[in-house]
Amino acid sequence: MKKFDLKRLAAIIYALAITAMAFLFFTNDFGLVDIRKTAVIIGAGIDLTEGGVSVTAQVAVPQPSENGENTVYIEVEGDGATVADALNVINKKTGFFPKLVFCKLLILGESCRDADIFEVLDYFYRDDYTQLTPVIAMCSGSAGELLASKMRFGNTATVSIERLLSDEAKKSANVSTVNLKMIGIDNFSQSAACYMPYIRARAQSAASPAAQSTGGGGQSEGQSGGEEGGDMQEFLCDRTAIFRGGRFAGILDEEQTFALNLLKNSVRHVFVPCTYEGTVYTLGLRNCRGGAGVRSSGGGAVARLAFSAVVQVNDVGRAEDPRSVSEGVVPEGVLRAGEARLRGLFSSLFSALREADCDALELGTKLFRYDRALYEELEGRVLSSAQLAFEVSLRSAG
Amino acid sequence: MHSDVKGGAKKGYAAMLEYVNKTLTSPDVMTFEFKSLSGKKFAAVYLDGVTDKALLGELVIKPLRSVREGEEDGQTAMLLASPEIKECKEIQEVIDGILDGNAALFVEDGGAMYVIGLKNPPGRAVTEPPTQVTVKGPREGFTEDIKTNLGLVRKRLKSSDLHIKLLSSGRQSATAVALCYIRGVCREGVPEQIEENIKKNKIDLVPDSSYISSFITKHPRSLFKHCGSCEKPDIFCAKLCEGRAGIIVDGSPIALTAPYMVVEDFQSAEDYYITSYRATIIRALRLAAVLIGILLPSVYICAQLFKIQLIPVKLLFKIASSVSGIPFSPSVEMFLTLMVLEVLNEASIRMPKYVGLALSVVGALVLGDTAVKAGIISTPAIIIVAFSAICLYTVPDLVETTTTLRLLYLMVAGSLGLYGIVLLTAFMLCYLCSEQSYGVPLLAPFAPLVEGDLKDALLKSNMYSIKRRPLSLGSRNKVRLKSDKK
Amino acid sequence: MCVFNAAAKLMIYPTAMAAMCGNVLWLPVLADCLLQSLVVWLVCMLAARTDRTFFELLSCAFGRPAARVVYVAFALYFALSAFVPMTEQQAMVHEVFYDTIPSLLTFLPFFFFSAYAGSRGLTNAGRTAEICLPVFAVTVIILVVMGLPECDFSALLPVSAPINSVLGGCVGGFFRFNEGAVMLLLMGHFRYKRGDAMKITLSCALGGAIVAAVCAVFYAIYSFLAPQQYFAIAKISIFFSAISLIGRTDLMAVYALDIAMLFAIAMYIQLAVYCLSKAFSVQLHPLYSLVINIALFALTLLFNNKFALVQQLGAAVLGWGTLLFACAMPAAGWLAYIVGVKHEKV
Repeated sequence: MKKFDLKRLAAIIYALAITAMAFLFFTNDFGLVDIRKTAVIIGAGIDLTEGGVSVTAQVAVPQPSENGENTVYIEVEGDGATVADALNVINKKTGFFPKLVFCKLLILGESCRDADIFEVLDYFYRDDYTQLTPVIAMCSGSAGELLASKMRFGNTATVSIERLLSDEAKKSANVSTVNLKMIGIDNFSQSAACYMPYIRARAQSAASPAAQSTGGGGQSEGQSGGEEGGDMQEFLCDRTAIFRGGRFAGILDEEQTFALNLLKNSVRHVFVPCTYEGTVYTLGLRNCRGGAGVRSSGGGAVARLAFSAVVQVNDVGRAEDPRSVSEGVVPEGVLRAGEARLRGLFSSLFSALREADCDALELGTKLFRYDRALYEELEGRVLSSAQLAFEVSLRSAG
Repeated sequence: MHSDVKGGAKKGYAAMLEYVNKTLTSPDVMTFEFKSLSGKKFAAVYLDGVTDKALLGELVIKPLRSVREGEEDGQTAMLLASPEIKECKEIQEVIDGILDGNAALFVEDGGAMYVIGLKNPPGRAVTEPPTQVTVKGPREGFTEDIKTNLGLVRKRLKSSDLHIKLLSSGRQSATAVALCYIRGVCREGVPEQIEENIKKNKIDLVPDSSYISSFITKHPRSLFKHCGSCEKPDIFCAKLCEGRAGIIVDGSPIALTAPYMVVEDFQSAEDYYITSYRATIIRALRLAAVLIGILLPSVYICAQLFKIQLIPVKLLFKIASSVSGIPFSPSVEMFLTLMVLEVLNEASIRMPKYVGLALSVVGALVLGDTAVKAGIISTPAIIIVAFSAICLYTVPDLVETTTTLRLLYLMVAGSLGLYGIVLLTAFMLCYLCSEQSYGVPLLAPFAPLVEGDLKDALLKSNMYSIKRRPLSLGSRNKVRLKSDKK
Repeated sequence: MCVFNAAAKLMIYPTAMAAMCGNVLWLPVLADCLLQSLVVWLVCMLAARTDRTFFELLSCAFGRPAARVVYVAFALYFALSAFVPMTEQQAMVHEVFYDTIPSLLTFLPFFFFSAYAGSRGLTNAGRTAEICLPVFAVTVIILVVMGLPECDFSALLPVSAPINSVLGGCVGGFFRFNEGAVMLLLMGHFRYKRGDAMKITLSCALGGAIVAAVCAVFYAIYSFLAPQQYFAIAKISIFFSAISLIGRTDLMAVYALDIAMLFAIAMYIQLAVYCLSKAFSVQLHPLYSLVINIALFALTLLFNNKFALVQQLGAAVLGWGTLLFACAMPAAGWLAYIVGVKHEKV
């Protein structure tokens, strides 16, 4: 009998493997979804309907081009019982497999106010192939219509909103930019509260030449958007929607949004108007350090809203002596007026949050982390029972 | 009669000459018979075109012709002006000598036979080798002549410890092979093993050192080479001084060195002639370029087929625009583009130079530009293949291996995706980690980690820091830079 | 050891610990690691006293048949130890290497690699570890540094966690810490030098510390969402700001790290093959590797899409196995040594 030759067997196995690989290489079809079969979703809007969920996806469709990029953006809508169902409908409609890996924006329509948003968003937390990086916001009206809007600035609604909610905008404290991860963490924390920007669309005349621009190397073809020559839209993201236990709890106005951002985000350079001796000053705040904390005091909790910054006067409502401008010293009275103004903003924010019973400042979570015994004593009523203390300090830059 | 002649020497001048003429019937074997003034007959047999006829006339024929009666006392060799004379006992030695390009001298009286070193085969001058060009540093390169090559080595290593062992390889070609090493520096056993491997080889013809290279390798079927090669005597000598053995093969301008470590190929001679900082950066660049060259085409098709996230979104849209009209799958498209590159590469090397320009035009314009315009191949595919090719040529000594690896990676990437690439890399590493060249692991000094050798691996320290020879090579004499400090 | 032990634990372990222990996930990692470091130190102390391998010690004290039985059991244990990280690898491949769920076919070439690597022996394992060390260090540092801007380390507070939760984590993750068993088999295969015990123990502890640090960073990024985030190492860098501009280049580091993970799995197979070769007194034979891989392949088919079950079985069955082979066996090694010394004196 021939001797069993392991080397020969290995050679045969490897030869077979290479043959199989070559076969796969050239046939190249075992359920692959390659770049040409993919619908790259760059933004999605979610509205609740009677039958479940309606997802409007803004999809990039690259066109054959000899020189550079030629991408057309289209809005595709799919309805289903869940987001996954709706995406499947999009797949059926277009033949393209929708991939959310490049999705940078999720917009919840006004209809989502009536539901637990984490039930709606469950797909994004559950699916292995989506990330928690998309920025999320709520809008007035329908998210689908918002995404299909013709834009005054820029090319697509997604790109415009993304720009408004960028990290740079976040650092100016004007928008409360958050992503799926942040709202998830906030909601599942001890505070069980989260917030997100609230977008409003405002119609503008189509006469502006900017409306014709198709910047960014691509061009927009809002197929489900407004009619040709219709009103152009611009968006405002200066308000914030707050949620308690995943349910809509209210909307913070512009000033409360600003205050929330000062306390929650690391802001870089912000502007605060204040009035001193009948003159309006616009203060430019740098080196901002803000935060909301909680500590125990006399058996209860004290919410401490702290903010400090270096200030310079950016604008004054009257003409000033050029020498005082060059010195750049902010008068003490103006600093105090600025502090008072900030205290007012924080107070307004805290009242609004307390009224909505929404612990968006994460006082409960912080108490749990730093004083667990007191947290267990006050569980569920940290926000309502906490006393408020301000530590606002502005220093002149000069 | 022939058997008599074959069996022993000194069977008579005429018999031996006849035997030689009957054995060497080729028309380029010339026989020149002459007489001295004393009337003694001589015959010089040589290869036309290989033996230096002028020297033969000057150093052999002229002195012998002028010998008068009584001037010679039976020692013909003493009368010759040539410094390289060997008296032969066996006729076969004489035939080998003639075939080697030397002249054979037959003497009538006493039947003495000599082989006189007058070999001067056609060859080129010492020039800069095309594959190891340096901006700084010596420009001399090996030629096809073993003697010249050994001379170039001797010129640099004036050491009595330099040991050169002349061997012969090839049953028909009897190619001269010189095994060089420095006694006390080269690890014991390595030259002996190489010598044994060369002697074991019973092939007909050894036209080039690459033949020897496969004979002295333990795994000749391996994708990775097991002995180093160089075309420059300065590199060769440096390697000998590090503790390697070198092999110079007659007829080949490429010398071999063993043991071999993969890291050698990422080092160039110039690294030692420029600042250590620059050398370190260049070595890192070479490594990065080789990795990019091998992996870029495969990662590109994986990104298209399996993981689009790897591509930034704006670039993705550009690529998607380019590939959307292409009739082939990304993997087949890349395969075809690579094949075109390989064919162009092969043709540009082999084609006569005057056709080269036309080939460039055909390759670049007709195949490249037109194929893109016709929507057969996408622009990114061409860019990637071209960049990959450029990257691989940063380490020319490894091109044979790296181009094969690139194709292998492409196949794996197109069929299995990124996991295939990772698996193949792990497989290659595992294989390389278990391979050795004359007892030295191929991946030394990284696996096994030899800390002292890291100073001149990918990192290049300054000369004063590299005081020891590579420990991985196991030299007995470890010190290469002696310090005066006590 | 530092590399392989850490690499094998970076796939699903951080997520599992986050699910079990929440914000104190790093505590059970450190506890298990310290316990194993102690065992490793004891094995090193034994290696300092004798040049014999564990097999020789057992043969000397209890006879060759007993040593053979123990080594076959060790082979079985290591083969099973390879199975859990292998299924984790399979799940990771399906999630991290592809955009859409690929077929099982894409994972099967693993067995080609595994069969080859398994037959290469322990020297090869050592050399691959030396190659993997810089790869592992660089990639982990890159990924962690990319994740740092997104970290909120206050999420790890309060440190005072319920003892049940920490103990649960220690027990649940215990089966992953078998450095003591690995060290026991390596004993006698290296020339012990003074100070080696400290070096080896520290490298073992360092591996555990790296895992604990990655767990901490992971939780500081994902906090309450951490239990949902499988394959922590591939997730900690996705919030890095440059990713949106340059694409998921962090995945390149993950893929490079996966090479170390592959070798970590291969090491178990190499150890199993080594044990079988010792038990049957033959030279390292590729056939053993082939048999072990065929068995693993069969198990893969059997447990395909039963990832959670494998994890549960791993914690339950392999936990006991680890207790026996990574804790009790080193003690048995000492016993064998003492008995062997007595025999020799007699």
